[in-house]
Parts: sequence; C-alpha cells; structure tokens
Amino acid sequence: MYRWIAAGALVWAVTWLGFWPFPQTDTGELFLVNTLAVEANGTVRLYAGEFVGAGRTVAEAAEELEAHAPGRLFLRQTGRIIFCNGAESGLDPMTLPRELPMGTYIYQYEGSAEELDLEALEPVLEAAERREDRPTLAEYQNSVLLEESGPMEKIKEGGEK
Amino acid sequence: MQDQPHPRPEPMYPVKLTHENVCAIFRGAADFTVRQLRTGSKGQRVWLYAIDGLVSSSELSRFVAEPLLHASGELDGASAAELTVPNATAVPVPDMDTLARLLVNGFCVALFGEDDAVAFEVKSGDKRGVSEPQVETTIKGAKDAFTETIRTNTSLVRRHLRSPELRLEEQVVGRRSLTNVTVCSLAGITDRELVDAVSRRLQTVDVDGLLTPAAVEEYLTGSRKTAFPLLLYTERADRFAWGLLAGRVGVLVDGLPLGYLLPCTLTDLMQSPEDQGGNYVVSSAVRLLRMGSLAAALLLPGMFAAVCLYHQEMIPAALLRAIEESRQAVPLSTGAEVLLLLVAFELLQEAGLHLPQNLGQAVSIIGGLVVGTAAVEANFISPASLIVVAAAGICNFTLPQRDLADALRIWRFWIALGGVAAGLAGVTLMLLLLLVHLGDLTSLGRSYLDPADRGAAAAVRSRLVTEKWRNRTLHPGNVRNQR
Repeated sequence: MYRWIAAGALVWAVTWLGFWPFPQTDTGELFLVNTLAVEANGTVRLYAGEFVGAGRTVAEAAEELEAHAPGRLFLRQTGRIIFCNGAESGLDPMTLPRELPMGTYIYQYEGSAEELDLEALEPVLEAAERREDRPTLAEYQNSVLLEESGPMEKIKEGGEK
Repeated sequence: MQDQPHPRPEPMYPVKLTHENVCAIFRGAADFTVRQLRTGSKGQRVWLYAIDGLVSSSELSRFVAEPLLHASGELDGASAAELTVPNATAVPVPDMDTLARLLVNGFCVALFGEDDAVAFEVKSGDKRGVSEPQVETTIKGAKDAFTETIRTNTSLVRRHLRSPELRLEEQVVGRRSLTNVTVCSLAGITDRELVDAVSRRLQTVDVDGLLTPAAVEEYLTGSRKTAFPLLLYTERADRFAWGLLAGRVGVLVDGLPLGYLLPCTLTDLMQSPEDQGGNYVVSSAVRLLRMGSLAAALLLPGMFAAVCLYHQEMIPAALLRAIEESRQAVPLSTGAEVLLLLVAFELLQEAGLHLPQNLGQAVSIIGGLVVGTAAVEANFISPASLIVVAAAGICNFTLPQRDLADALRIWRFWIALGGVAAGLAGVTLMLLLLLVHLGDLTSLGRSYLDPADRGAAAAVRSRLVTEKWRNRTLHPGNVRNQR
C-alpha cells in the first residue's frame, strides 16, 4: 500500500513541479489556422477564422496572430497555402514550418493577398478539393527538390556513382 | 493461526445418538419438531425428528409415521428401512453428525434406541420452480434456467445430457451453512485431473458459510489479484451442458441459481448463448461486432482524451473545428471531463441497479437525458465527451458476461488516466500492462488468453467466428480425453 502512495506522490510532485515529459494542450485552447497566403514580396499571412496575422516569415505572422488570438496557434490542420501574384517563385518551400501538414493543398491566386476574399472563394476551393485535382504541399516540395537536383545520376554496381 | 482461527472439530458432535443429545443440539430451534411414537405389540418407543418447512408433513405422516405405528413386531433401524417404511430413500445414521446433516437437508430421522437410527427422505416441495433465464435470454434456445435447489439443477443438467457418464460428485462445504456443492463432469470427455483439482480446491474451503457467488468464485479460482472472471457462470442449463460437452468441469452450489464452468478463457467469456442458437453467418457477424465493442468500451474514452489533449493533428480538420468550437466555453479540460463523465456514468449505473426496476428506469432517464442535456446546454461538459463516454458505456453493455464487463470498466479508467497523463503513449503503456496481466492469468492451469483448442489457426477462427455445426468435432482436441 505504501508503495502505491509513494508512487502516486512522486507522479504528483513531478507534475506539480512542471517536469512531466508530456506537455498537453486542450482542443478548446487551440486556435486553428486554416489558410496560409504568401505574397510576391515574401509577406506571409495566416488566416484563422476572422483573425489575420502578417509578417515576413511564418513565425512572424504567427507571432502577430497569436498576440490577439484567443488561444494557442495550431498549424497542423492548415488546409490551404495560396501563392499570390506568382509568389511561389520567390519562396523556398523547404523553409515552410514543419507543422504544416503534407496534405495541404496549394493554390495560385492572380491578385494580392489583401484582395483575397476567402469567404467568397470557399465554395470554389471546396469544389477543387473534392475533385482532388490540386497539388499538395508534399507534391510541391518534391517537384521543387527534383528541379533543383537536376537529372538523377545513375549509380553503378558497388555503390559507386 | 490466521488461516485457521478455529480448527474444525471432527466429529462436530462427539456424543451418543440419544434423544436427549438430539434435543440438546437443536435446543432453541423453533422449527425443530419431535414426535414420540409407540409401535409394535410391546409399545416400543420410537422418536421421529424433522425440521418443519424442510419436510412435507403429509408425506411424513403417510409414508413414515403411519407404517411405523402399524408395525407389529419389534423394530430397529435396519428392519424399519427394509420391511416397514415404504420410502424410496432410507439412509442409515451411524453418528450424531450424520443425523444433524440429514435433518437440515429435508430428511426425517427415526430413533429406535441408543445409537440406532435411520433417516427417510420426505423433502418439502416448497421451492421455486424452473423459470426462464432472466439475464441470458435467447430467442431460439431452451428456456429452462437453474434454480436455488441443487437437485432441481442436477436434474436439469441430466435432462440435457442423458448420458450415464455424467458424473455428479457431491461435497459439503461450510461449517455452519453445510452447503451442498456438486462437481459435474462427463467421464470420457472431461480430464480427470481437472475434476480432482476442483475437488481439492473445494476441500480446502474452511469457512462458516459458502453462501455468496463471490465466495464460491474466489475459492474455486484461488483468490488471484484480478478483476477478470476466471470461471464462466451461467444460469442456463443448456449452456452448462454444452460446457461439460466441451470438456469443462461444472460446479453447482446449493442456494445459487447458477452453474460454474472451469477452465475458461477470455474468448469463452465473449460468447453468448445466442451464438449457438442462430445461423452461423449471423452469429459470426455478431461475434465480430462484440469483439469490436470490447475494444471500443475499453479504449474509446482514453483514446479520445489522448487525441484531444496531445495529438490533435490526428483529428480531421472539420471534426477538430467542431470539437474546438464546442469546447471553447467549457471550463473543464478534456481529461477532467472524460474522467468525471466516467465516474458519473458508473454512479448512474449503480443507482439504477440498486433501485426498484421502475425507479431505476426513471433515474436512468433523469440522469442520462435530463441532466446530460442540461450539462451540455450549461456548457459544463462538451457534447463530444458525453457522446464518447456514453458510446463506450453502451459498447460495454453488449458484452455477454457481466463480470467481464465490470473488469473492463475498471481497466477503462486506468487507460483513460494513461491517455490523460501521456497521450497515446500512456494508452499504449496501459494496454501493454493489461496484456501482461491477462497473459499472467490462468484458469485451472489453462492460460487465460489461450485460443488453442483445436490447433491455433482453427481455434482462432472458431473463437472469432461461429463454425458450421457439421465442421465441429465431437469435442475439443486439447482436452486430454480418457477415451
């Protein structure tokens, strides 16, 4: 019996002192980012419901959004990345935060991010996603990597190039 | 000394068989009746003893007292049993212990003089008749359930198994309760070692009374530190007979309307009597559904807490948004909410059980519907958590064995705690602990997780689905049959 009490006290002490190795965030505390827009000048905008945060990097945009967002920013369910005015040419996709899911759909928008009316575009975007004819972040990153590396070198027997 | 606080005196009544000693033993027993008769030409004195309520007065008068009164010659126990009393059952009474035991078992005893007595069976017919099963109901199966009278129960088993090889070995357990316990087996099918092991366990029982199912189960299974049932109980005589045919040892206890079957494994506990009664395709589908229910009942609250607290990326975006919106006004965290709801669910269940049936239903309606809806509307709990805990509870009710469901209820708490404390890692850890615990359990020497009845593959197949009757062998192959 004393062993169980001692074990319980130890767990309680570890938790109370803040050393519990499993930090948790409740679903209710989350602030879901659903869209990430990148402008041609490199400005990143994060859209979470009616809130918007902007910055030179995703981290800066997140910081601005977090300042007035009621909860903890959650990028892991971001559904869309929209490149405005050909912004994809100026952005290294590998610099995007790792929290973004690989299945995030990629869109190109001919206009600036300020003009972006996500509410009006929602049915169009949903229709495109239902057809699954949009590239995903994983596919986009793969294509960029393949372009950078050029044609693949053949590997000879024994592992020599 | 702690194991044996008061060593059993053998014999219990080391006195001579005399009228004075019999009266002394039953002094103060209002239902103890004594009748003095004068018989034969010389007016020989005979004492008749019985317990009122246990014997039939009319049978006692007609088949015992009357023949004794009309006897002409001098009588003793042996001649009365052989020549005078036309009773089907006459048992010689060599000592006071036997006399006391027979009297409390519905016999009347005729004492012809010092140390000369004989007992006649004149049991009263006042007992509950055979009725339909209350818990293990089936649509197509037999409708006879065990009663509190052991002889009725053995007769029910006999009617299902009209085999002379059915062995019924009786023991008396409990110093004061003197409870009759019958060990049932089928010679030629049941492993004799298993029967002996059960008999040995019963012989070690040294208690004042063996009256409750928990006491019987604990003594039969050997007091393991587990919430899981290590024997199968049934109220159905046909299921009991089916268990005997499968090579198990059956135990019937006087006073309990249940039959116990040993050994049993986890998959045995997942089988319902309805499985044997229905079409094998439907039964297989239902059995698979039941397996899924077991997993859901055990894991759902823990998994939900783990995913909501640690792994939100696993939830589809639309669902996550819905959960997030419903949770924003709720003051409790998902972990606290799930644990509190589990406790509330248990409380409701207990309240429903301990109240009369009509009141119990009212409590369930008030608790489940009214309080649940009000709690959600007041933002005290979120609808998602309520749905998850209620779904787990409903899944738990689909399990055919109540004891197994109760054990899972306890483990569900631990798994939920693991999920709250460490996410899916905690759930996995608790699940592993459960598996280790189950792997450590045995029922009468047989592993609790053992599916190997007829070779592993066939056994797993037969446990997960119901086999066609024509594919079933006569009896399981892993039982060491005598022939």
